[in-house]
Amino acid sequence: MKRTEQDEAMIRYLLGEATEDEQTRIEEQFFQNDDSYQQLVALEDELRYDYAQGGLTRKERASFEKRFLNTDEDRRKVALAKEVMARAHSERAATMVPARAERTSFWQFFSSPLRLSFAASTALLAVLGAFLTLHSVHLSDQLDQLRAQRSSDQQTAQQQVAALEKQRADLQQQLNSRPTQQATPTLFSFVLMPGMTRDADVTKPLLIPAGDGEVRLQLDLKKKGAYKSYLASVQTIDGEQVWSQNLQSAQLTVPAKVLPSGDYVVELKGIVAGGETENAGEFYFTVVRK
Amino acid sequence: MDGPALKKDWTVTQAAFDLLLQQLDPDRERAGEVYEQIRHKLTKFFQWRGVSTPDDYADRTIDRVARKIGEGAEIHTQNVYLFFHGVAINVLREHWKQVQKADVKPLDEIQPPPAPETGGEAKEKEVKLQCLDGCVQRLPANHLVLITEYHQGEGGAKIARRNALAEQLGIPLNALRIRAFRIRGELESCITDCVKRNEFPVTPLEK
Repeated sequence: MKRTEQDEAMIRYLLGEATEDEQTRIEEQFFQNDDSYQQLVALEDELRYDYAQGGLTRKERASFEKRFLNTDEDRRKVALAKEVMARAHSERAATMVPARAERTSFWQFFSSPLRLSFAASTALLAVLGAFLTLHSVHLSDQLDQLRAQRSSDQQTAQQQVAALEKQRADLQQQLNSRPTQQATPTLFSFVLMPGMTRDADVTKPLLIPAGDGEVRLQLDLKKKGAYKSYLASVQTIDGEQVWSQNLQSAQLTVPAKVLPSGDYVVELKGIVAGGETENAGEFYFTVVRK
Repeated sequence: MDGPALKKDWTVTQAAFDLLLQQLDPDRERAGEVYEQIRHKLTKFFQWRGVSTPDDYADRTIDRVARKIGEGAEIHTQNVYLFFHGVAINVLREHWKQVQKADVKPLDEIQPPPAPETGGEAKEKEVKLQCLDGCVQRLPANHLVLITEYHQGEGGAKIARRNALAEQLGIPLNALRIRAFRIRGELESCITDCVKRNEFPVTPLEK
């Protein structure tokens, strides 16, 4: 948008760029008409403020400097204009927040001629504010949902951890409550020679600690591989069987508890084809429990 | 640097001054107001025409008019301002002739160097900034909005903004210009008065 022709002419006059006829016409106007004179005075001041804010064209700036920037007083006025507008814009920006309301009453301000401008600005700000508020609420909802989800996830994770902890504690408790021998079964292994008598001078006793455990007896056969399987029977010297076991090899494991201190004999029978058995050997041994 | 020495070609007598006022308006009080208006216009006229001492030339123009009235010239009420304007143009032409003879540069060719800043001026600046803050903060909100809106933007955008502002306020652009001018004037007066109230005298150096 351009200035009116009248404004253009007045600016040319003030900047010393008007023709002689234009000068005379404008001067006759302002000498006779106070309004015209006031317009010129106001326009001169306006040019100063526009210049101070860098709002003039290059040509206008040059003309302004030649006409209105010759004395210290001229420069002081321009400097003041610059400071005033800088401070005014700064104050205006600061009053975009409601703090300024305390200086001017609500009705006083709304009775001013700027009410339309202010109302439009207020309406715009209200719409913008409403949008931002709704957006903020929406974001807040999303945030709440995320927080709830995170909380739920955390709760689930905590429950899982708690369940695992409980499971671990239960297992530990079960482990602690298990008998020692089951937890760490003790195995005593011995090798028995066939045909040995119960003579203590010849046969060394098997020293088995008191308590539960297992005794592994390795039977040393003279004839190895003659049978695919065996039937072993552990008996006291009185002929009472305390333990029996089918074997794939000449090795049997007997619970220690069935072997209190005393003399024993293992009768080993080899199982031949058809399920019949043969004597594979006798193994005497003595148990001493401590 | 001023123009050529102003030669006082006539001294205004009380009788001539009374006649002048009588010609301006039969009511002496009203005549005094018209006189002041004319003097203001003459001063601005010479300033806008590039005279470095416009006040002096305005007084000289008034003296000339008073002399003419004393010599029997009559000024018609409706043409009183044009009469002063006519005399002012003659005074201005004489000024330019004297400038040419004295080879004195006109105002728009004079570029005096800026004066160096002193310690007192620095203090005055500080006071002025405080006054500036206070005066802007005391400005009514609608005035603040008006001048900041008025002095916003550049070129065509600035002009469009001012037109829109005038339309919003329901006043012509000319009236808006005057309104912005008065607000700026109030601000400047507030600052100037504040500085005067708070300025500190500069202590002279001891010899």
